[in-house]
Amino acid sequence: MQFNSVEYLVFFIAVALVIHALRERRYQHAFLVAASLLFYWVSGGIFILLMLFVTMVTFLGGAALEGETDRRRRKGLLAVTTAITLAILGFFKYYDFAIASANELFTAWGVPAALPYLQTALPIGISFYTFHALSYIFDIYLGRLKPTRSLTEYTLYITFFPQLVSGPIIRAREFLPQLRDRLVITPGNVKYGVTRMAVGIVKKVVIADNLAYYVDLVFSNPAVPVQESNSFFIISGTILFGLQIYFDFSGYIDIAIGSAAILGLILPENFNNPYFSASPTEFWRRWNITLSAFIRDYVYIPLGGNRRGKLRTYANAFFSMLLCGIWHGASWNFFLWGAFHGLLLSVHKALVDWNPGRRVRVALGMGGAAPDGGDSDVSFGVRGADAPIRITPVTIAKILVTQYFIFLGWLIFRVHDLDDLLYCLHEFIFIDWQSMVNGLTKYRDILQTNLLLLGAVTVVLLILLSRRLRKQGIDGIVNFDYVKAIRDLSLPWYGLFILVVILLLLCVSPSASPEFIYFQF
Amino acid sequence: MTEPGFGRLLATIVLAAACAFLIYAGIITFFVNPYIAHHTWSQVDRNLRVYGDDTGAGGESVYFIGNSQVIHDLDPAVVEEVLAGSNLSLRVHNLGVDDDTPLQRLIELRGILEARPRMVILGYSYTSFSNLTRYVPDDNLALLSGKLRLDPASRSLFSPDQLALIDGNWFGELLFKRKFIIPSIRKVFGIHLQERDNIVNDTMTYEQKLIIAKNPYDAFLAPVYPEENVQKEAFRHLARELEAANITVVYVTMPLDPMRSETIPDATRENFSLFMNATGVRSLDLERAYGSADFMDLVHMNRYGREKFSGSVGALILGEVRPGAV
Repeated sequence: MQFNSVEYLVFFIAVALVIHALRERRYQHAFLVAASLLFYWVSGGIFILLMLFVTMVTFLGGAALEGETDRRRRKGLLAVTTAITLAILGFFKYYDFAIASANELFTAWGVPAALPYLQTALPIGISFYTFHALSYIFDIYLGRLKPTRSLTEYTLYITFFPQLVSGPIIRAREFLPQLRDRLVITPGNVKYGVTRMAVGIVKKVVIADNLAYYVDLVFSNPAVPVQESNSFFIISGTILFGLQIYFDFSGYIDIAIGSAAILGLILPENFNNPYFSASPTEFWRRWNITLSAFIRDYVYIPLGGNRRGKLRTYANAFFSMLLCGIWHGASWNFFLWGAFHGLLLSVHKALVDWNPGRRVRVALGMGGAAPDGGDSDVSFGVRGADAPIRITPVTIAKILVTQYFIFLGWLIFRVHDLDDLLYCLHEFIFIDWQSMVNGLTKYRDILQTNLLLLGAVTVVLLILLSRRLRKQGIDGIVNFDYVKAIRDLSLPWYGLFILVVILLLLCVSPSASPEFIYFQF
Repeated sequence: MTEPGFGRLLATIVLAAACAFLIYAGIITFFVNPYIAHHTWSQVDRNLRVYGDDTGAGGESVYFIGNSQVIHDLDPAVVEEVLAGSNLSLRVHNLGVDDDTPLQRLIELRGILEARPRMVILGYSYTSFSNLTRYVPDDNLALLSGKLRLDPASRSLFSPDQLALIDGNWFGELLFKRKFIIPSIRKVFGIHLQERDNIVNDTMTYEQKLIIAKNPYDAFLAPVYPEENVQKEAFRHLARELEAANITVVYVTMPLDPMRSETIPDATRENFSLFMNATGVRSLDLERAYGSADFMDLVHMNRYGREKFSGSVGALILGEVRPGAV
């Protein structure tokens, strides 16, 4: 059941009405579990049993951990529970890839091998509910969380439908305390939730789905020469894909957060203007925040984080990002994408440690104390995620350089065939300027039309935000909390907002809406 | 901020949604409908009206169905004149549809059977039987949903997505029309995109024909393979149903400019010939019957060619209806 479908709208309204009608907290929870299982059954079918199995294993594992005081036994319990959970994820996600690689290897060695493939679809949401379950176990082991005694509450934590398929990855210690009180649906929650959902659906259907058409056109067969304008196509396709994946994924998250908010539950934010990041480290504090926080807490820090010397810190960062890449899927391009980001983080960390600017300032006697925290700490996730962006000429330059590499990463992420990838990387890095001129000339009418449209939207937004612009400058615009501003509109203006959203959906959405990109992970 | 009550908030949202739908309906009515009035789907719609008018009318008709070649190449007045010269009073209808294929024509089959024409002539080229040929434009299905009736065998040849469009309702049709909003508004304001394809609607020069003839990716060169495909199945079903209703069926391989004919591989002709012979449908090959001077481009005839071809069709009908008359 897609979030942007009429089926979801009907399903969600029905769920909200029943939750509103139920007076008892435990009935609300039981109903939400039932609704979540129905939601999963519609999309994932029989794989619901797998999810329930993981839920049971980790619930029992958590209870056993709590009752165990022997350190060795606790470690053993943690290892067994983690191994079972990860084995299921690994089996479904990586089995076919491992078999394909093994078969290729055997063939290369001249050994005829045809190991059988699983050839089954990846259970929907498996990566996300596995991480939810693991964070529950890890937090109990680390003494950060008391296990819940309620199987219903724990099942709701794992299966809660707004975050079940593609996140955000919420920790049990953030979610379970919210279930202590009866869920209350208030007009304020509804207004915020509807606003968030409306923004999300516009991001997905109006922006991401329209971009998908052009992106698919470019990357369906990227190595076929298109009248000598391939650099133009690859670069514009990569930029559009970067925008598509942001609007698609953050749109999904907006709908998830909005749905939960209407039901009276808070889900964590997952994005904070990632394309305004001025360093790779900052990017991972602003992009897929809950995943990078998960990797920070359960991979990077246990590996030693930045506490075991510089080289070890770089290696930890590299390995953590490699794992992040592999988590995205069983494909060489995700492996390369993770390695690429690991390299970016490590190099950035090394540059910050080296800090040539500081060395020059020290040599000239102009001060230049060692940087304290901030970018010198290759940490992931939430820390600093809500820090306001300050736009200065230097920041703009940093943002542009950072985003060049981030978008280069998106190219690796998008192109699955290795030959195609090499070709695309060549076209992206060694720009054929003649091809750029050809492309810009050939498609100038489309570019002009779109620029005109974009210009009109920008002018309207600038007029609407003119007072803020005068008071706070460009920083005020970049850091503007537009969801809050829309939620606070008076009812007539709020009605106008809803009208514009529905009109946009009716008029500008493409005929077919592809699945959310992160459904495949 | 004072929180609004539930009632006022929900009323605002519902009212906004209703206004949005009204505005949308207005955009469709005033911008989109005039814009799409003459698109391909309207040719199918016209055909359905012809079948409806003929149903139970009692007169005798000859339907010439096929792709854009039929639209350009056949002049019903010339054919009727030829028939009248032999004291045969038959109404001849040019029912060509741009980019038509046998599969697309299945959506009209029920209408043709109910109209009970004397004869149906199917005019296509090899490309219509290639498995690389575009099947049916979504527009022709979605914009006519509600008017299309398919028998079970025909339904089995369409994909689930196509069937969803065929079985759609007025609301689905209304939503489907959103894809035309931007082009229709662009047209109203005179914003035209650059012409990127080598589409020439006027008579082509020899050089222009040569450029297109040399293009190996031209859609008209889609090959016909020996294997089965949905177009072949659709043609067989079409012919079988018409013949079962005692309607004379003739297939005509439509004329091509010799410059285009030269580029069509012999394997395509052989594979097609094997297929057509196996169907048992009477066929007439006019692919290479006319010279380059009779064509406005590589596949469509000019008015000289049209007169000649229409005369041949008249003779064909006479031969079928009154054996020995020609």
